[in-house]
Amino acid sequence: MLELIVKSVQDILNLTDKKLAEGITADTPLVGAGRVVDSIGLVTLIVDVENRVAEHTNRPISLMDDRAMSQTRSPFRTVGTLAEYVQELIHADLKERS
Amino acid sequence: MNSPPNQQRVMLVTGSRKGIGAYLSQYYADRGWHVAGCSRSPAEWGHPDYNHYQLDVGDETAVVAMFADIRKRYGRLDAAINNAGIATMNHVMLTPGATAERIFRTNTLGTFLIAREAAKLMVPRQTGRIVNFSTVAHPLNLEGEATYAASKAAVESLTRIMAREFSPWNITVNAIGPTPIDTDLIRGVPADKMARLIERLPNKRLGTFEEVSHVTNFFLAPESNCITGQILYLGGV
Repeated sequence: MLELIVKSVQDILNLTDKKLAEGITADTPLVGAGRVVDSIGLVTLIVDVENRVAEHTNRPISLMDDRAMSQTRSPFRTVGTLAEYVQELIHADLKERS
Repeated sequence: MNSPPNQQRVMLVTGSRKGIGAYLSQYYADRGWHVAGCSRSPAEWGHPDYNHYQLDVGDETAVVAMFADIRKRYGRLDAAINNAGIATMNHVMLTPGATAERIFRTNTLGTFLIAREAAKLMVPRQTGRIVNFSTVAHPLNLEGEATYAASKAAVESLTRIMAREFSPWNITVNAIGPTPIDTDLIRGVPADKMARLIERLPNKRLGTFEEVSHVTNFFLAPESNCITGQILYLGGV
């Protein structure tokens, strides 16, 4: 999942010609200080990840559900926390279906 | 169901079983688009370039599932026409809460859900057109149409704000406000009430399907890339 998110962030940065001094890792921030995408970039990222996961798993996924909104710590903090969150959602969906 | 070649433009029309939605679906299918349509009941017509989904636009799970299928089947969406709508003519003091809720669910929440999911499908290609449906009943403040007009006033607000929010991806969002057209939506309105309504219009007659497609053509045109957040009323309102 981390790979998928990294690729998505990279594609969005390529659209804006933004160059990072360091590569994109699990610790790359998506919100707050040092974030690599602006607010529009974050929306694009979330939509892109939803689209990629849907293609990958053949199941629609919504990252902005009540669970994401109610968490005290945003799952969108870093590339790594987003990857973990997406993985959790996929597991929850699988569990619900089984 | 047919799957169009990837180069073919894909449009979604809600409320496509009959009336304006059926007309627009056939109109654009005849003009090279592949049209996906939806309504709560099966379609009453067919076309080689038309696929029908059966769902309630106010049902979020069903709407998301439809868009997942559109994504899988076509891989793109170029335009969405939010035509599905229901109305009731009644005095506010005689309107049950359940009726008001049903009208807002289809007209307002339905428009919101369809536009949200359509935009998500349009983001990867960085372009798209969304056309919503308002009504002249809102600016004319028609008595007896409080819930219907209010649900469409909310659609106008959604249209203007979504136009701003979606503009970074070159997705335009506009709305058409047709005058009454001879469809099921107005068939239950007593003749004298309809006559009084028509009398309040600068253009004192019912509208036509062709006048609606004239406006949707304008909003959908490639040259309309900077036409967004606009509400275009028919009938001189």
